[in-house]
Amino acid sequence: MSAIGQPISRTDGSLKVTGRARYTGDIRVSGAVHAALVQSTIASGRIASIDTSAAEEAGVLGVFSYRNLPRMNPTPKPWSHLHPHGQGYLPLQDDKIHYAGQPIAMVVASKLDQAVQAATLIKVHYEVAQPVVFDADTTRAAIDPPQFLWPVASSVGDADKGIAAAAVKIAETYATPDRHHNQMEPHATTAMWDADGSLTLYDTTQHLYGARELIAMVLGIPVDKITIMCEFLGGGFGGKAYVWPHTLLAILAAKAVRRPVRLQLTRAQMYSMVGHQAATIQTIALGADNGGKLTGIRHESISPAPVFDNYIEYAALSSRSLWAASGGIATNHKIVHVNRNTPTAMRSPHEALGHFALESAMDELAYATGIDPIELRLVNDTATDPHSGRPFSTRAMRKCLIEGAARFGWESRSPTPRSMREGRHLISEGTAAEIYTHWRWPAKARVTINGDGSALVETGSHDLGTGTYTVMRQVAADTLGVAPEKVTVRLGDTRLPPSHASIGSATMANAGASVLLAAESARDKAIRLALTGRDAPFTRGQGADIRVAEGTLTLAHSNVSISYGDLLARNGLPNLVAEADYDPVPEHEGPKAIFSFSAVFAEVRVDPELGIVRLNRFVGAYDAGRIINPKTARSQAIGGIIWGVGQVLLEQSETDPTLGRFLNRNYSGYLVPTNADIPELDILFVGDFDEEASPLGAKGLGELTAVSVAPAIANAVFHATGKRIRRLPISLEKLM
Amino acid sequence: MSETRGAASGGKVVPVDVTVNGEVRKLVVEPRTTLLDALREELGLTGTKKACDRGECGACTVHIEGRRILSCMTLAAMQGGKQITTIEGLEHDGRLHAVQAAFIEHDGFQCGFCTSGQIMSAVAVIEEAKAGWPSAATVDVGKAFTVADLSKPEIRERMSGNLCRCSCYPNIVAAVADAAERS
Repeated sequence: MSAIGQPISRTDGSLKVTGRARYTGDIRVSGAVHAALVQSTIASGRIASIDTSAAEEAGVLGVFSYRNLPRMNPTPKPWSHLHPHGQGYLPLQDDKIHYAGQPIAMVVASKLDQAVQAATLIKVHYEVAQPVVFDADTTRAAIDPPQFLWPVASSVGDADKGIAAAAVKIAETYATPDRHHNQMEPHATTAMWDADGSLTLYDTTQHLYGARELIAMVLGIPVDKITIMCEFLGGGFGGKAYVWPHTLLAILAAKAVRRPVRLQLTRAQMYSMVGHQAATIQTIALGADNGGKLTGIRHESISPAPVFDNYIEYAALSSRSLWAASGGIATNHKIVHVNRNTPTAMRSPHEALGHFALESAMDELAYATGIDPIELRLVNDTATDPHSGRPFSTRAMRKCLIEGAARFGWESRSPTPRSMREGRHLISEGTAAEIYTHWRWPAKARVTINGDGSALVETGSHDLGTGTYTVMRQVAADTLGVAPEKVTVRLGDTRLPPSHASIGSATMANAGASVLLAAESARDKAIRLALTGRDAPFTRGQGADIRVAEGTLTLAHSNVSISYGDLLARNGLPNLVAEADYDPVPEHEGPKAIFSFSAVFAEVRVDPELGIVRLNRFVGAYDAGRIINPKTARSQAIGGIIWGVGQVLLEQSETDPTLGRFLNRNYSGYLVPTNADIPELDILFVGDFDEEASPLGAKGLGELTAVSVAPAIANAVFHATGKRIRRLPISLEKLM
Repeated sequence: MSETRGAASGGKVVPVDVTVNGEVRKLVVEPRTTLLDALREELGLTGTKKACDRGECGACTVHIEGRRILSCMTLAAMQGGKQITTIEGLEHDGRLHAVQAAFIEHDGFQCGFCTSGQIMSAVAVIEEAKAGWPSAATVDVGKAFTVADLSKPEIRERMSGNLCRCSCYPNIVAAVADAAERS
């Protein structure tokens, strides 16, 4: 039986339910000491004076500030996934203050409590300047940033002309707030140097090789002297894919005190020491004919970036490819430089923000034209990517909408707002569609077939909780023709064959492809041995005539067979090793446009007096290509939906407009969904094998599932209350 | 409880004997050391996680005298003579506790970082139900609560002190319901 497609339980499950899975902060290194940070209490200005004498006298191993920390090399430009800094401005290099919570000093002591206490003894005097914050005034002076990930602006056809000539027009402004990842696992690093100048790092990272590259460049260490390990990651969501200041500080501290140094961020420090999702203010103009067919889309977004970086939240990206518009589609992004640490990718960057605006506007268009929201989307479905003009590799949008609506029972919905009730509660239903970017990245893997019939998969990928250990086992087991239990998977170490960052829902399609190719290569080596090796059991036939199952090679139309173990023994080999280098052309250079798709459906219950919105039920229909493991895939989907519930109803990082600092820097102030907030969630996978996306047929799933939860629920809230909330989150005061 | 000045730490230290997972452990801790830090840093029991360190997320949940407690919100020096159970102590004779097995079967975790706390809470939830404790979700608090009353809304309410950012909540509920039914 094929392992791919089976709902196999996580292979790392027993480690995780017994507390034996070792995360970065759990690694105990002999002789390790602790670092604690001092952060700026102001958001703009400079350090006028810093007195570290009391801390130095507290029996600590080292106290560092800009005055004594060694200088680093500048971060490389332009920014690249191959050497990704989280933030261009490097810590403890000068006396400038660019944001609140900026690290300005570090204490190293043998115990954590000592380091933390000594850090409180450091006295800092500032020259205070008025910080720039993201508000109505500063957004008026937004600037055109240089390109970061995709072109900043796009224009196909003449969107404005198409909108001007339209029978029905929608023009609205939508806003999304700053948000923080709040992974359960705080970022942590343990750094240790060997006498020969080699560096070993345990780091909470979604991108081992990018981190190694960036650290090598910034700290001037040869790449081959750096080893980074991360066997288990306690949640990433994009926020651990780039190198943040604390990692660099731990490395330099370890060198200075000649001891291994551990540095774990506190929950509150995670609000300014690492990235977050930047707020957006988005304007959308839609034009359509009376039948709902779009004649033009214009989507523009403004987001904040720090004074030293040009990070762009590409919120208008989604409008380039989701729907066809006969007249044209235009998008643009601007940024405002503010006193703030650098934002970063957060599930689902760009798309989840843009879809809130676009798919809310589509719902407004549905009401303006009197066309059912599902029908409106079917009318504007397209087989060709409007942006690139290429056909989509696969696009099961229609299936997502129709099968999802059937499962949800959409046809019994009464479209009039406030028309459905349950007791004193208003009941309502909303929908939204979504499109998600597909990344094609190179990845390497090694597969070893052992003499005992077991197999080893090695690739420098990561398991963020996505199930990488499990799905790679399934891929290798099927390809080698062995039972899944026979396959061991090793990830999370730069000494393994290099893979790509585990971001952008790209691991299954790309790292998975490298495992598939390496396993095929190992299997083919075995087949060649069986045909031409010592005492070859198969004296006729060729590779294609040989089947492998349950660890045994069998020649077609014969009863001649041999196990991997016997074959290796017969040839005097301890094992067979094969490596693969999956090196696809980037998606945008390929002949077809590759995206994942879905349609989602929410039923909510609104208390009209208190403004409380509760999710009653939710159906998501997803086209993510072939699903390798329906159990772990379903878990990713429910996780994405709940992530979206947080986005639409709860999450916002509030900034003090005068002090320019994040205010709610803990779970008590930054609300995330709890168990009691979540009902049953219903997941459908409707996609097919997509050969253009990956040799495995898989497209991205994890981020897709968090993309359009917000507009689906916001549209349901309109259906319940008649109030269109265009500024997230939909907190209760907005409905009262 | 005697206090001595600890040369190594530079502060006062307190000796305290605790029973952790059935084994008496002798600790010498500063009065300010939390039970969480003592478990992780002094005893090397890193299954208990530090995620917020201020009682907001539940990742550090352990049992003290059979009751679930946030180990970041209690001091190690207060636990003299107490029986403490951590995630490392749930297995018996190398066999997983029914709740641990149910979490694997129902995929009640993804990254696994909150899982120790979720499972320690879940084990206690089932015991609390058996002991007849009602919750804020209990419809009729006048009636004696039994484990058979541990409905999904009850489990959701009782498990809401444990955050999961991968958001496995429906699977966690399924796992707890399954384990409760088998208990």
